[in-house]
Amino acid sequence: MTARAAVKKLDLDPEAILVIRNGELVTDDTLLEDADEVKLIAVISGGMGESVPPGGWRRR
Amino acid sequence: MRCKTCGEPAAINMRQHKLALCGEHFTEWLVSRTERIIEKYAMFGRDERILLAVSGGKDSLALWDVLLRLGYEVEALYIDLGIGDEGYSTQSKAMVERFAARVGATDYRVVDVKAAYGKSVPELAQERRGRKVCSLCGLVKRHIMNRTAYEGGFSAVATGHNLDDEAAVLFQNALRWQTGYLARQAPVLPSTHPRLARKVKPFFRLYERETAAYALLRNIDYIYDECPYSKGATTIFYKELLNQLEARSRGAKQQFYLSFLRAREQQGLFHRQREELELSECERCGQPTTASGLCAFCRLWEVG
Repeated sequence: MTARAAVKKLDLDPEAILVIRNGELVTDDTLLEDADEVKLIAVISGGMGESVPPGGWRRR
Repeated sequence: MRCKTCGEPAAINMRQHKLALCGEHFTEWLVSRTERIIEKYAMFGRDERILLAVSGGKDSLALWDVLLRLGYEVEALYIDLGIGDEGYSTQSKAMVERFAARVGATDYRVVDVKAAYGKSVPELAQERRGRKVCSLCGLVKRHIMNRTAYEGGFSAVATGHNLDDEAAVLFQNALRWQTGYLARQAPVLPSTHPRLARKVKPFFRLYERETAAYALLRNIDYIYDECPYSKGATTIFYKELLNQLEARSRGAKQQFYLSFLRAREQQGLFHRQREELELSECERCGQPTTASGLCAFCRLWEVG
């Protein structure tokens, strides 16, 4: 199974996931074997705290 | 998939650029792309001192690493918001300290909100019921960034916002047609007052998965946990929606944000909302404010 298929099977979004196979970052067409150790890293972060448009001095 | 540069197995495939690279060539690519962006958008020069706001997350620590590798004169600022007893803030600060020790950056600054002003951000929010923690937090952070930059004589404040952050905020502002925000959202905000440093976002053209990949490949420890107050945040939901678009149409996120910037620039969209606001100086802290008397930050600490 490819990394992409594995991520989709878990109902996760491949755009938002990085796949680490045996300690190495791999692309999502990489074939995963039974013996592989696979780690998935979610990349989405951030609530409003960092994302609020900065610097806008609004009129009250 | 193979690295376009050396033919070794690729570590990342950037569909929007039709470019796959191995770890070594990807980190090189990201550093030089950041440099090109800084230069193209005239963010800052090598003779300027830059204050970098760091949160302990992947983007700001990756940006710190990149700016140091490029030889810019950068100093980091960590704002301890006092979130989560021994939890979020403590852990994120530990990540900043660990990274600083690793790169030998001894002169980064820490502002502890509770120690400096008497209350942490959650305590302040509890007292000011009716105000959301995230909006208070944004106000506190902006004030401390501006003040630190002014007092330290920095030319610009840099933050680690990436393209996904910017596209999500644009999406949110467009859904509500918040024209004031739409007029001002930009990768570079020029200084509009001697006490307000320029704001710059050197990662604004990079996808979030690229900054995360960079942090991983450079073995940068960052805080994976979300701020407890951001759970279920709409920005995260909008990022997920935009990723669904991206999956169907590669480059969609980038096109959404960049074509907005272009349309605004070329067609004068939201021009009227862009007029300069008159700023006076806060009676207490001296920071610029549109209100007369105390600025919004100083009013927060007024009792009652």
